[in-house]
Amino acid sequence: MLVGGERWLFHDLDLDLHRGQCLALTGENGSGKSTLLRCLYGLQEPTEGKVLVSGQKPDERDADFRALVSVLLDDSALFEEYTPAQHFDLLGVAAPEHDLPQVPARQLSAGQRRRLLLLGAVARPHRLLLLDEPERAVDAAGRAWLARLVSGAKANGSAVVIASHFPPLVTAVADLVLDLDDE
Amino acid sequence: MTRRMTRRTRRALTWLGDAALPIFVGGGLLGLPFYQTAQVRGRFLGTHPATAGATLALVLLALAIAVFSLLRRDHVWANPAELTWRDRPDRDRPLRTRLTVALLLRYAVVGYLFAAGGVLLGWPDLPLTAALAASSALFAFRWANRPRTWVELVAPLGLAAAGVLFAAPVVLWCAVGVLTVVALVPLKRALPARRDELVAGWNARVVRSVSAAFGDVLMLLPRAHPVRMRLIDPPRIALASFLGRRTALPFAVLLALAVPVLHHVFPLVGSTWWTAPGAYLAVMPFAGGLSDMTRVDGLRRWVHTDAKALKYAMFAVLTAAAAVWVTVTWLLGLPVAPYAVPLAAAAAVRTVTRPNLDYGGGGASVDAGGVYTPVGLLGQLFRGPDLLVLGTVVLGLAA
Repeated sequence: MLVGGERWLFHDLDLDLHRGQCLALTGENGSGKSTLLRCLYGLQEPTEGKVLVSGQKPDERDADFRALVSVLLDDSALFEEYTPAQHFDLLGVAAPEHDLPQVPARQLSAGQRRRLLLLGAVARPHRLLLLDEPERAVDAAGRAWLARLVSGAKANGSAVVIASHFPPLVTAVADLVLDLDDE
Repeated sequence: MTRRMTRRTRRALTWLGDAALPIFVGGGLLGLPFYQTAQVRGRFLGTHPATAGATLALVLLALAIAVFSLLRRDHVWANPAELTWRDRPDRDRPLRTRLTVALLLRYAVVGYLFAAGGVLLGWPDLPLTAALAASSALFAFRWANRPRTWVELVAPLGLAAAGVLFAAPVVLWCAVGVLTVVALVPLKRALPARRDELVAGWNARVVRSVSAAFGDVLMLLPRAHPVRMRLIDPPRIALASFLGRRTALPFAVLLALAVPVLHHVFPLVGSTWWTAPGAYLAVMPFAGGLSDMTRVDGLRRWVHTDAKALKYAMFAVLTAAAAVWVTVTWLLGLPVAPYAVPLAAAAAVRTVTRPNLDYGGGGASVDAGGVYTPVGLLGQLFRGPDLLVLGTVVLGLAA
């Protein structure tokens, strides 16, 4: 239901996602996975049709809406001068269990930074969790950890939408799979 | 027989043609102290007596700013593509050339201020002034080639302090001796800059160019350093953001030393006109954390706290900092302007809470100094400084 340049990225898309369920978006680069996530977070509007999250039209400018949804998008960032614990202080939540070193974020490796972003996305209070290619920069052990993290979020009652290029993760956590190459 | 003009000559003549008007106007303005001396003196000094000491103070301040800016090592950069594809054996050569040019430009400005101050206010002790200029230039050249250390900042801050305190000639001759010895003493041999240092310098230069091209000064706010404290409420978040930018402290100190000197040199300009902008510039770098949280969505999502509470907390922290800064200037002889304190803090908060610039929604264009600029963009760029200017005008009129 959206035009990407001259062509339809997807149309006749009709789906419901309930709490505790995970929808995986798969497809080639440019197939519209991130665009659909952006629509779900209200950063972009569909050309036709509508998206509702808990009965609300997505709009990330709305603080009430942001309280419902937690995201890990391309623009996610870290305060380079703060440690992981200080990041969780900022969120106002207890730090989840993790093995990240308590050093300023600028000293973390790419994989550790990604893990911190993922932990932050999951720790933030939410009903819907949107993760754009969460497996990026994460090593093999980290990917197994990631599957457990997403499963944990589902078990806590979150609806989860992930865009992923990593089939084992999709197999491990997804209840529904939407292949956008077919749309 | 006609000779063909070389490309270089043609380019130089084209540049001269383009820059003729600014050169003409700028040259005329800069020449005013020399051919309309009485009028300029009357405009800036009024009935206040002119003293050669004020010229020396002005020169000391200019030397301090020159040394301070050279010690920032803005000359240490190299294009990463050059390093990758056309690396030269002597990487330091262009760096030395850049440093020399930067030094000469700054000391040309110092020379101008010396001459203008001498004509308007009176000539200071020429050998002493020359010795101060030479020793500080030598110090800046040698130390800007060495690894960075906080101790080096004692030199520019000391020069500015000597200016504001109207140090006696004997003290200044001692300063010349110390600067010369410290410049010549073979401490740690300067090593060629490492690749990561050169690339970091290049990146900083790109940020400066982009900031200048797009008129977005918020890009220039300093990076934060780690701070060990819990960030559990707005006051602590604001305080951590402030403390993390402690590298901006020497700049604030230099400003605190500069403002009383400028007030002494231009006594007709009311103290509010120095205090409010001075305090604003001094506290502005410390508000960088609030700017990050406002402008970067990915960072804002980490902050659970209400944006308003954070803004008020930052205002309180900046007000306290501005109060300290104003107290220092008062101790150095500047008449106190208490209302400038909250004004500077409020203007700084208003500046850093500006959303990202929207270059598309500018509306109609107006001529802003020869460049057609959309009104909407000007409105965005002056969010913050507008409050400062308005407040300063009101306070200046009330004083």
